[in-house]
Amino acid sequence: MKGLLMKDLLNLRQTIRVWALLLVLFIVIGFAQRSPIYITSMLTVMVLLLPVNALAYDENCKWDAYALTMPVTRRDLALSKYLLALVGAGAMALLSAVCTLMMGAAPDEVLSTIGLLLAAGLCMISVLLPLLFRFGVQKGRMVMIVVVLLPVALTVLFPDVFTTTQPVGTGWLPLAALVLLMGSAAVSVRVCEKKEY
Amino acid sequence: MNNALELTGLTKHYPGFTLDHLSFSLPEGCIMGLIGENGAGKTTALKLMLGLVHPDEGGARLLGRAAVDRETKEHLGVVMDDCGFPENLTLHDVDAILSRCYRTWDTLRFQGWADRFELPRKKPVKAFSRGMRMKLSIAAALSHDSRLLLLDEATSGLDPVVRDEMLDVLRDFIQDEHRSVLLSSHIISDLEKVCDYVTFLHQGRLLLSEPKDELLDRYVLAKAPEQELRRLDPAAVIGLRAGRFGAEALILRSALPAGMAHQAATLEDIMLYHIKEGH
Repeated sequence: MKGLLMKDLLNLRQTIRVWALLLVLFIVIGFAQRSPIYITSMLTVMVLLLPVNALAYDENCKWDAYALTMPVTRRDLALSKYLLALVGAGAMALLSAVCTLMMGAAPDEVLSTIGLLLAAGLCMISVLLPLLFRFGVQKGRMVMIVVVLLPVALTVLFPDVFTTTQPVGTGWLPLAALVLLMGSAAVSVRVCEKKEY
Repeated sequence: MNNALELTGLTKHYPGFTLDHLSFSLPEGCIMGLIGENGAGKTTALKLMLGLVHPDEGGARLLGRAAVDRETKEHLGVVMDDCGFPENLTLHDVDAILSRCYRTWDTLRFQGWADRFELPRKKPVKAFSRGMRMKLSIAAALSHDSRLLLLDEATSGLDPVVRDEMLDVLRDFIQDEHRSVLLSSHIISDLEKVCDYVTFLHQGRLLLSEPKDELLDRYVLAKAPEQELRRLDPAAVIGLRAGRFGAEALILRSALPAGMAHQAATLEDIMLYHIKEGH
C-alpha cells in the first residue's frame, strides 16, 4: 500500500508542482481580496483531481495488471486511491486552515467552511471512484462531468441554501461524507475483485 | 522433481475465442518456451495463471501453491508485453516503489542490472525505447527473490545482440535448480536456444508440451519427390509442402524410409507444419 501511494505521488510530481503554483496564486488573490473562499474551494478540487489523475496515468501504462503480478492485491489497488484522496484532502484542509486563520477569520467559521467543502469533495469522489474503477477513466469522463457539475449548478441555481451559514450543516456533514466514502471503498473493492485485467 | 507451474484444464471463453482445457506442467529448474501464432492464447494463458483474468474452469498452481497470493507473488518475476511502469517515473523512483512492494527487494542488485543493461538513471520511463522498457522490466523481475519468471514476448523489440544477452541471463538464472522460467515468444530461434521444454498452443488448444530434445528427435524433414512422400504412412506425415523443385514433409523419424534424403527439423519447422495442416 505504501508503495502504491508513493507511486502515485511520484508519478504526479510534476502535476502537483503546477497545482502548487496555482495554489500560491489563489492564496495571493485570497489575501488581496481578503476572501478565504478561493483557498478553501481549491480543497474540494484537489480531493478530486489527485485520484482521478492517478487513475488516468495507471490506465495509460496498464499499471494495474503489472502491479497485480507483485505482492499487491486487488483490494490494495482500490483502497490506495481512497488513501490518496484522503492525503490530498488532509493536506489541503491544513493549508487552507492556516491561510484563512492568518487572514483573521473566526476559527469556528474556518472549521465549518472547511468541513463543508471537504464533505462536498469526499461525496463527489465517493460517487466517482467506483464508476471509474468499473468503466475506466476514458468512459467514466461523462459521469465525472455530471458528478462535478451537478453540485456546481445547484449552488448557482439555489445560492441561498448554500451561502447562509447553517450551524446544522457543518457538524455532521463531514462525518456523513466519511461514511459514504467507506461505503464507496467497499463497492470499489468489489468492483476490482471482479475485474479482468 | 517438483513442478514450478502446473496447469489443469485451464479454460476461458471469450466471444470468438476459447482457451480450451489447457494442461501442462513445468518442472523446477527448467526453461519452457510457450509458442504459438498470434492469437493462439499465450497471453491469455499467462494472465489466467497470474489470476489477472478469472478462469471459467480449471486452475493453475504456481510454485506449488494454489493461490496467487502475496506470498506466491513475492517469488514471481513477470515481464509483460507492456512494460507497466508509469511514464513519469525514473529508475530511482521504480527502485523506491518496488522496495516497498517486495519484501525481498534488493536495491543493489537492481542497480547492478540497470548498469549492466545501460539504463539511463535520470530519464523518465517515457523517454525509454521499447527495448529499454523491456530491460527495465527484466531488471525488476530479477531484483527480488524470484523463483519463477513468466516472460511474455520479453525478447521481442530487442536487437539480436541484446536478445542473446537476455538468453544468457535466463540460463544463469536457472543455475539454481529451484528456479524456472516460462518464456512466450514468436521468435522461435530464441526459444530453441534456451528451452528445455516446449509448449505449443494453436487456436486456444494445446498441441503439445514436452522436452525439446525429444520433440526435435521425433521429427525429421524428409526431402523427396512429392509422389514418394505421398506414399508414406499418412499417420506419420505431419505436413507436406510441394514446390516446383521437389517436396519436403515433416514426418516421424521412425517412419523415414532408408535412403531418403532428410535434415533435422527445427522448432520452427515443427510449428509451421503443424499449423499449416489445420489441426
